[in-house]
Amino acid sequence: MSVLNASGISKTFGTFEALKSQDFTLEAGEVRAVIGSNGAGKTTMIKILTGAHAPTTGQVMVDGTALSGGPAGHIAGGIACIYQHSSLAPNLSVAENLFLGQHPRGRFGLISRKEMINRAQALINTHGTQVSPNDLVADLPTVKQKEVEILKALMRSAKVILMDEPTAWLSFREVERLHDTIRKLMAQGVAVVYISHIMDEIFRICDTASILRDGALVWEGQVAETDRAQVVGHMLGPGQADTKRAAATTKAGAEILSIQGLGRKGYFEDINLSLRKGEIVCLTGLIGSNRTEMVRCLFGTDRPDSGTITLHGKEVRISSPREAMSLGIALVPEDRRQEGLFLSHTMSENLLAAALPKFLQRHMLQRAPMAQAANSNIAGLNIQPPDPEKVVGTLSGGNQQKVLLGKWLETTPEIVILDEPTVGVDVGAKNDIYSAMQELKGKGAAILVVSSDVEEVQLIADRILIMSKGKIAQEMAPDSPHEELVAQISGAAT
Amino acid sequence: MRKTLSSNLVIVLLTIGMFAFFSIAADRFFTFPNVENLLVGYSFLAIVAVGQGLVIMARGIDLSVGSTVALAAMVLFDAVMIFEFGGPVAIFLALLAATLAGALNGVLVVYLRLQPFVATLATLAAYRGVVFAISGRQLYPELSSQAVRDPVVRWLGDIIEVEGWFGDMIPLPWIPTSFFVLLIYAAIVALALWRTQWGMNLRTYGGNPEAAHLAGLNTKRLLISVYALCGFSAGLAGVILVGRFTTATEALGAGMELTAIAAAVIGGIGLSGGTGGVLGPIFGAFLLGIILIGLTLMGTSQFYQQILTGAILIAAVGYDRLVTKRGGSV
Repeated sequence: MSVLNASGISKTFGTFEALKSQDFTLEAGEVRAVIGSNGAGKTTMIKILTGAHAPTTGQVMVDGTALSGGPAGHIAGGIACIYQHSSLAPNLSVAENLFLGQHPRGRFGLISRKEMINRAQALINTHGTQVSPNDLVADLPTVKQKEVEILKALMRSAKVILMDEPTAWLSFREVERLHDTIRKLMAQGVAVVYISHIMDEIFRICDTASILRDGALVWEGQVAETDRAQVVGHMLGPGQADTKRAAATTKAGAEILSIQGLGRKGYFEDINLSLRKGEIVCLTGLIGSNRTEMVRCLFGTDRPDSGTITLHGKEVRISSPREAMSLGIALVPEDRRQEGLFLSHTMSENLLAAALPKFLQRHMLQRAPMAQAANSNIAGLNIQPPDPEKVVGTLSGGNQQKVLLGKWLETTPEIVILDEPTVGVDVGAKNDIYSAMQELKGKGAAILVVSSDVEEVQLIADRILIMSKGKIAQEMAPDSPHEELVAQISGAAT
Repeated sequence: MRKTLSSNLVIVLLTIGMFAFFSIAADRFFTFPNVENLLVGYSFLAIVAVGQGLVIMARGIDLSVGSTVALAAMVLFDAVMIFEFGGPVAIFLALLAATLAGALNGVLVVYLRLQPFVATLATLAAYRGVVFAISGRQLYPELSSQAVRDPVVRWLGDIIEVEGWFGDMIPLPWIPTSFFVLLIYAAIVALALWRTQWGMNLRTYGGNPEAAHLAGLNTKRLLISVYALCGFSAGLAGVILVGRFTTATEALGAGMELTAIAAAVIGGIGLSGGTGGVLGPIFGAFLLGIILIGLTLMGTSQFYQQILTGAILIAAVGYDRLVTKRGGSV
């Protein structure tokens, strides 16, 4: 019998059909990939399964019992969800987090710390996780926090665990560890829903897949019986192509930026790097190799302790983002919601925020050319929905990223730095972002991309630099074999 | 847990250090009347700071505590002097009024979704207005010169003879009752914070509100209870102050929000939520007391002391930000 049986679930918001009526069943010990572009209905389906949304029609059953009572009811019913953002309290210990909301009671109804720690330790032991019940969650690395979240789900005897982009902030080796954990869950008969944009991982860990497009289930079956091209085909629909490496690109031009011996104490040291007109350089490596800290120094957010930055043959000091911008440097940060966007403002306001001086005439902003520029940007980047007055906070992740990129396209900077530009972004949106990068490159910009996604790096880079422990360990050509590149990146850490 | 311990250690050492410093630097600092003065003058502030600390742990702030202190005091005064209720009933009514005032803050924050700062800034003014409106001293001018004589209320402002309690270790002839009230109250709140589901939920919410919500906790009820408890703490302080002054004035507790917040933050209640405990704010309150009384004895003017209170608050918040940033926690 199926452990999870969601029959005829659908969700309608107003007149918009976010999810069309469909069945979704899982067997015990099955790992199911749920794949779809942003806006395909994945999020709606997850929210129905977790109880955050009540379905318009249909019901969710676990082991034959229909669930009700919102999120708390679904948790009690055996469905747990591990979200992209941590749902642990960082200020509490591992044991305290494992029991969130229902700690074991002892005398006088007080929480029994002894029992709490014993039960936590027992669960940790059976699962072979390398944490102590007394560890403070804030002190644990991300992958261990994910494992604690899985333990938390098991503590509530979850039968179905949903994982939303579980590897978004993990390094290669950590992904392996997480996959080992998932295999253990399979052996215990827990069903896992694995939501990811990373094809490579889906083919490695998942048994079956459900592909959603425009709110409907378009394909369901064994992962072993399909391949990447087919999956992407189902996902994007007829007439849409998968990401391919751009054909023979223009030759890189003169050197624009040169960095000599750049260092910041405790983060990175002796970085030498040169960027030329019309080339894409990818900086890859494990999480924690301090790539972000390095590019922050180029944008003036942080200051280096040593080394020189030379722009067009002249040494420069960049002490603020404002200065960096005036020198023609743009940064698309890693944390787009925190650092990049004005979430409560409209798309056109965000797109033009960096380019406002262009639209000034006698100190007044010219509305008509602004609207025109916003619209051409939205069309060029294929931002959905194409409405310049839409508030950015309501857009999906991929589209937010496009807006952020569009903001800099409008200023035509000479040097564009992108920090993890496609984390949590689906294949379709990735394509649009890559082509925008190609367009910038064609215009003669020098592009520096920080990315941990090896597939992506091989797809877009003209040169690949591997960074490890705050140093550039190696330079590789983009046509090096995939396995060798992965080996070099992981090896660079040892 | 480790962070709490280490930040507690810092504040305890700082308090002892300051005490030692003024004992040497200021004449008459390390004398029994002065230590009693410190205990009497800052126990009630410590009680307010404990409540304030809980609210800050839940990512809020309560600016209305000073007015709530006065509200409880005035309700007690009216109940005893106008309605001639007995002490226990009157004290119960005063604490009830303060708790409801706190709960209303919580309702404004939870259901009207006001920023805690704005909501309690509004009630800071409103509750003070209520105090004037119900002031027995205004309604019956003849009462303004009379003292509260109820024995239970007077007892709260009194002292407890402890001669010989501690053997020869601490040769104290007496300790203010308010200090005992503080100790008992702090012990109860600490137990609630560390050993009950309510306390666990509060710390969870402070650390990650989203996690609390996803764990199916009733965060609305939790927040209202936290604000209510903060109101109760202010009420308890108000009741003690009536016992000590044997009357209630309309301006009682004015400006106390600043010192209470300062005491809580100095005591290691992180402004980013979730961290801290009960001991910290108490030491924070007495540390402020030691510094201010010490400076007074050294002849520093009142005005400079206010500047200093502000400066200490800024330093504590700055330190908190620095620690949070370096820790890199969420």
